[in-house]
Amino acid sequence: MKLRHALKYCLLLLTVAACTEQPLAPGVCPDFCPGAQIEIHDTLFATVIERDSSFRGYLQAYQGDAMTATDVPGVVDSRPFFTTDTMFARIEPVLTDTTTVPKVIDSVRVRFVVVRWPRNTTNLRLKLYRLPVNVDTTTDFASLDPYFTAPPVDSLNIYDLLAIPAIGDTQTIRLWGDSIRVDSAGHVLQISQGDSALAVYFKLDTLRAPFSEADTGRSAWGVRVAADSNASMTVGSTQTGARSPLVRWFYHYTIPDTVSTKPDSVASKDKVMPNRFDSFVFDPPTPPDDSNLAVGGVPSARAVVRVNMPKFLHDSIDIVRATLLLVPVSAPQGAPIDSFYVVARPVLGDLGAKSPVNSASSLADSAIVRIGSADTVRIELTTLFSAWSRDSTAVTTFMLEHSPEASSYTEVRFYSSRTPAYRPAMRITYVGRYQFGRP
Amino acid sequence: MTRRSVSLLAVLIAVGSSRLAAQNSQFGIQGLGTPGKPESVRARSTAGAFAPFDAFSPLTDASLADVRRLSASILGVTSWRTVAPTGEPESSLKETRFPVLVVAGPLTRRLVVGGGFSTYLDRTYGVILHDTIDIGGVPQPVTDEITSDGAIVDLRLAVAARLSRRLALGVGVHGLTGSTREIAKRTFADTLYGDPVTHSSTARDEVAYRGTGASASLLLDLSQALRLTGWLRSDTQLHTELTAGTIAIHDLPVSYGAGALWRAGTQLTLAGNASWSTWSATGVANSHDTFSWSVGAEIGRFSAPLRIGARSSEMPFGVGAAPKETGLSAGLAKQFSGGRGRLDFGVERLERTGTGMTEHVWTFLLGFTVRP
Repeated sequence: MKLRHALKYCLLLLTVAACTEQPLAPGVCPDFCPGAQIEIHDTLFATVIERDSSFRGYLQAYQGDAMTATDVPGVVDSRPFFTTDTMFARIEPVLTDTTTVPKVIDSVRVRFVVVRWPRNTTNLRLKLYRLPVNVDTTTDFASLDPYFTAPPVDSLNIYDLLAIPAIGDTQTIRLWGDSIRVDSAGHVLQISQGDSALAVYFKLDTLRAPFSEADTGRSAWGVRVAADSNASMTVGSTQTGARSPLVRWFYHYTIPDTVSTKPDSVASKDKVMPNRFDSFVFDPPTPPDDSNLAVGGVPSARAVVRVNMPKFLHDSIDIVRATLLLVPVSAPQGAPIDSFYVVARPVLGDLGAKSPVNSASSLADSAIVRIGSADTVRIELTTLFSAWSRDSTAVTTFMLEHSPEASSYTEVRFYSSRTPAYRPAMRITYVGRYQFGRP
Repeated sequence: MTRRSVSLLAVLIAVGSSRLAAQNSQFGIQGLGTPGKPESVRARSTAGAFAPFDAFSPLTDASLADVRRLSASILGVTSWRTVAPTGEPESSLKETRFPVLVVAGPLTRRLVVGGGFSTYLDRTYGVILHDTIDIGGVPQPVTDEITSDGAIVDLRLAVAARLSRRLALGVGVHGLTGSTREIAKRTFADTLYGDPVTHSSTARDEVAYRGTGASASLLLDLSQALRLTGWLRSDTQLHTELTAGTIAIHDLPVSYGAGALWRAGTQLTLAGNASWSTWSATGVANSHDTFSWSVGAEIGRFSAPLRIGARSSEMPFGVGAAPKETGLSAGLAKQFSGGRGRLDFGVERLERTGTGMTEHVWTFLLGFTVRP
C-alpha cells in the first residue's frame, strides 16, 4: 500500500512538473539558429511630405488657456490683462425689504495664477496696472501702452515671497485652504500642491484701487513682468477656470434697524467678480505668413502636412520608429522659459485648413521647440505611422499645432516642401517581412 | 465495442491531439526539424529495439497482425534538456508532449487495421539572441526571440495480414500534416523604438505542412523463439505553405531497416534492429543520411516486465558531420483489469553530440494502453 501511495504522489508531482514549458534557449548563430533573420531598415524619406501649408486664425489670444507676460528688451514685450463684470454699488440689507444701502469698499484683492515662471533669473517681479474697463477683442498693444507705461498700481517680488516661511496655522488653512506666504505689504503667495503653480494676490486699498461707480463697478487690470534677466512668466486665463485672474472686493454696509431696540449694525462682505474678458497683447506682432510652415503665434497658425505613404510601407512590414524632421527657418526668439511644444495630431478628414483634428487621438506626439535654437525639430510619430501602415484607407494627413495654443507670442516657422534643400522629411525605421517557414 | 470503450478512445485521442510533437533538439532548428521516434513506451524503454515488433509503435505495419482485439495506446513524454553550445553557457529546457497514438483492431481473423498519429518532425523551438545593430549610425541593443511551436505529424492508416502461421505482411499509407505557429519578436533597449508599451516589433504567422508516404513491412517467425522483421518506408515531398502559397518543397527520405527478436525464455526477450534513412535527399544544407541501431531486453513476466535498452543513431541535420545520439533507457509496466489496461513507465537518457553543440536529455515516459 505504501508503495502504491508513493507511486501516486510521484505521478502527481510529475504531472504538475509537466505543466510548464521552457522552450527558449540562447541562440548560437548561425549554426543553431533559424535560417531567416529579423531584418531592420532605416530609411530617410525625403519627399513623402507634400502639399504642406499653414493657415492662421484658429485661436485668438483671448481664447488661449494661458497668457504670457514677457519683457525681453529688443525682442518682445507681452502683457496680459483682464476686465471684470459689473458690481452694484448698493445692496439690499434685509431680504424682505427693497430698501438699499450703499456698499462701502474697504479693499480689493487681485489674483493671478502663475503657471510658468523662470528659475534661472533673479528679482522676478509682477507689476500690476489699472486699465480702462472697455478693453476687448479690438484692444492692441499700442492702445494699452500708455496705461502699461504709467507707474504701476502695485508690484510684488515672486522670489522674495517664496523665500518667506509659510504660514500654516489652522485659522490660515481654514480661510485659504492651504498655507500661504505673506510679505509686509500684504501680498500673498500660495503654492498649488497639485502642480506647483503660484497664486499671487495683490492687496490694494481704495486709494490705489478706487471703486468706480461711473464704470458700474467694473475694473480692468494688467500685469507686466520684470526681472534682472529673462523676464517672462505665464498666467492662467479665464478659459482654465480655477486659474483665471480674479478680483475680490471687500466691503461693508450698515443694516438699518427701525424695529427693535438694537442699534444699527454693520455687515462685512466680499464679492468675487466674474471676468468679462481677458487676453494679452505683445509687440512686435506676429509677422505675416509666407511660404514656410508657420506654427504658433497669435492668432494661432497651424500647418497641414500631408504624407504620401510609400506602398511598401503597407505591405506586411512593421514600423518601429518614424521621426518627422522639421528644419526651422530661424531660431524662435523670446525668453528661454517660453520654449514650447509643437504637436502633430492626425486629422479625421483632409478638408484643408478646416480639417477636423482628432484631439483625443493617442496617435498624436510632440516635440519641444527651444527658444534661440535653430536645431532640426524631431517629432516621433511611430504610433501614427504604424497605424497608417496597417490601414491603407487612413487619411495620411496631420496638423502641427503650438501647445498651448494662442497662449504666447512664440511662433516657429519650418521650411516647407517648397524649399527642396530643407523640406520636411520622414526617417522611418521598419522591420521587413520575416521569412517564416524557411529552414 | 462498448460505450465505455468508445469514450475511452475519444479521451485518448483528445488528449493526444493537444500536443503532438516529440522531444526536440537544437540540431533540428536549421533543418526541417527533429525526427520523432515512432515508438510506444514499451519500445522507448528498450531504446527502440522492440519498436518493429510492437503493434503500438507505428514504425512498422506488419506488427499490427498481433493485435487480437480493439486496442488503443497513447504515449506522453516530459523531457528536461540541457543545451551546451561549445564555449557558451549551458541552458535548460523543458517540454511535455503526446507524440504517439495508435488505435488498432481486427477486421477479420487474419486482417487487422490500425491507425493513429505520431510525430514525424518536431519543429518546436525558441531562440533568444542579444545583439547590437546599427540604426542610422547609432548602435542599438536589441533582443530577438524567434519561436516556433508545432510539428509535422504522421497520420497513418495501416493494414496487416497474417499470410501464414509464420508470415505477416503490413502496408500503410501516411499523410503528413501539421502546422507551426511562428513568432519573430525584436525588443529594443531604446524605448523610442517599437510598440510604445513593449518597445518591440512582433511578426507572427502559421506555417502549414503537407506530404504523403507509404510503408510496407514483413514479420517472419523463423521459430517460436526467433522473429525477424524488415520494413521500408518512402515519403514523397514536404510542402511548406503560408497563406500566400507554397514557399518550399523538400524531398523526403526513404527509410528502411531490419530487426530480430529472440524469446530466450519465458522471462527474457531480447531484440535489436538497425535502420537507415536518406535524409540528404531533402536538399537542405547540412543534411545527412542516417544510420541507427538499438538493442534491448524485456525481463520478467509479460504482465509486469522490466525493460532496458541502448541505442545509437545519427541525426539528419547538423553542421559538419552528422550529429550522434546515444541513449540508455529503462522501464516498467503494469497490467490491470485482467489485461484490459496497461500502464507503462519509462525513463530515457540521451546524449547528442555534434559540431558546436552537446545536448543531454532526461525523458520521463508514460504510456496507457486499453483493450476494452
